[in-house]
Amino acid sequence: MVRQSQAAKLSGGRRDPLRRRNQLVAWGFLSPWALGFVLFVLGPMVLSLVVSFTDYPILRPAQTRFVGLENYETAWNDDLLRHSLAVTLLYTAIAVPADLVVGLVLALIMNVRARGVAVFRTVFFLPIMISGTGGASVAVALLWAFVFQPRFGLLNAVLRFVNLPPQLWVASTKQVVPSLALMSLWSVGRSMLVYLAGLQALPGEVMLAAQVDGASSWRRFWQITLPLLTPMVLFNLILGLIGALQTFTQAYVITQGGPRDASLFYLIYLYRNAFTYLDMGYASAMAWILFALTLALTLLIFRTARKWVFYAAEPPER
Amino acid sequence: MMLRTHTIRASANTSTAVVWAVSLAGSAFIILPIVFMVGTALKSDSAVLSVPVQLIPGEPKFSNFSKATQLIPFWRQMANSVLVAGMGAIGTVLSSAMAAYALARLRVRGMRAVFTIILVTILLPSQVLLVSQFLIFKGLGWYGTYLPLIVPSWLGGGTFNIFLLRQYFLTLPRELEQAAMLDGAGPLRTFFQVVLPQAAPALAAVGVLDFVSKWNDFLGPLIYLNETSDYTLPLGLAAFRGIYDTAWNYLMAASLLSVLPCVVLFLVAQRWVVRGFAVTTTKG
Repeated sequence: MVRQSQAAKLSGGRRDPLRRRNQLVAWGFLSPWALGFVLFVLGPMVLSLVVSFTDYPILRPAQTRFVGLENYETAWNDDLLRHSLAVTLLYTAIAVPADLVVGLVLALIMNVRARGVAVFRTVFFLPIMISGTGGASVAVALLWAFVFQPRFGLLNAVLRFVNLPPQLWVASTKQVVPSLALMSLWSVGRSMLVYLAGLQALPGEVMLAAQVDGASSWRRFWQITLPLLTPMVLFNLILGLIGALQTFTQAYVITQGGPRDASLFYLIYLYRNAFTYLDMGYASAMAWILFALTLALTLLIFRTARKWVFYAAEPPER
Repeated sequence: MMLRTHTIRASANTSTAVVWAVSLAGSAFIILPIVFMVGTALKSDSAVLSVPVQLIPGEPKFSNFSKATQLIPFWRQMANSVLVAGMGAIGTVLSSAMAAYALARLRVRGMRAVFTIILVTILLPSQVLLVSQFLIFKGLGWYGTYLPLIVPSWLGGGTFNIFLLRQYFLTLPRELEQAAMLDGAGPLRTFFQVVLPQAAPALAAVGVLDFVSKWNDFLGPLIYLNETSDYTLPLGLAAFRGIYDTAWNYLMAASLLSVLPCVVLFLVAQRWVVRGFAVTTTKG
């Protein structure tokens, strides 16, 4: 056995039985993933593309017919779709940068060696324990629904306590999206943790050298710490973007898309088309539009990332 | 010299002050809603709807918890959640570890392409597949069952987890595996008895995070389940709110009970989870 495998390594022949066996073993280990990929990712992608070119009323499948680009034309002229896209992008434009900045500030502070910091870290991690890393859960959304409640809620109680005028929060068409963005900051511990991991991997000698050279802490942050953290910024930006564009649970539970469609997120509208109006063709077209949009934004970020993300020279992994 | 020491000490004091000020303000933002949640869960029906708002009620009503669990089939739904999240997390750990092992160790032709596909699918927004996955599961006759919520975990278990575990496997020494192979252990036996035990912290991290995310999943159960008795907790809570719109005390009591298992799980596995989380994100 041993000699055989050494021989195989030396010759490196392709038709080697051992090599064939390795190939078989590798694909054996990959087979659950491969099956899942075909059944639940690739298949659905192709299917949804096909369905998006049809009129498919799911209750009367016999009436399904091919309509070409009609769903996409409808989408182009659908004011409500445009509105839902605007709502989603506005939310993304507030929530994602806020998460990036606040997460970074908190991580910098949690990285200081001072008394009590470990306790604070656990506190900022609490919301993640409650709702996981995937954004708002129903329990958290219900909690915030009551925190936002204008008469009996926590936020207005605090405002009254410090003599500020109470607000309508999620009950106001103007405030509902910023309010939901504020709520998203409650889970800032996720991005904080990513930055913290990055901070703790910083090369100590570089920081020390800069300190010895007399660089102020302000300058050290802008010229050393932040550039070295840019891979983490990119990571949080991409994850935050993909998550924000798919906002669903908090809007569904807290506002049901209201008041007067002011929080009609894209996915809420897609859900309505698919499962309330049962118009699977249109919903599939909407899904592909969101996919294209997400892909375009992600690629745009990756493209600019070459200019602002700093990768320290590392030995190649393979 | 004197002056210099002085400035360093002064700046150390200011920075400690800043650290504490920001930490306290941030913690208040995190903690106050949780205190409010606990306080509300303990309020009487009239105290919930009274102004000025009390953070903690004068007379806590602990009976709210048992009443909340009777207003909806709470324990039934919790059992459903345990089943869905538990079965899902086990499948995720097993199937993503298998794929990750192949990617990390079994370098054969085509493996690079597979790895590229996996990296690309990480960026794929899962909700895009919502409608067509629904059509497929409905076609399979799985609508109204837990199968759409569990089976995909056993077949791949999330590309992000595969990526995380691959990174972790790469850090393990190969010697033990080679020794096992030389002793005549087959690939499956080597994988289960040599590789998996060494990767326990990473597997625990993936398992816990996946369990919590499935525990909290809302959209999946919302689409695939239609009987109240089949509901998982998030669906049950959302339905609860639809029926008893102002019963905030019972709603908060039920919500609080529903998040407890995840918090406990996190506290038990905290060290692994944080470490696994750090590995995922620092080795890109």
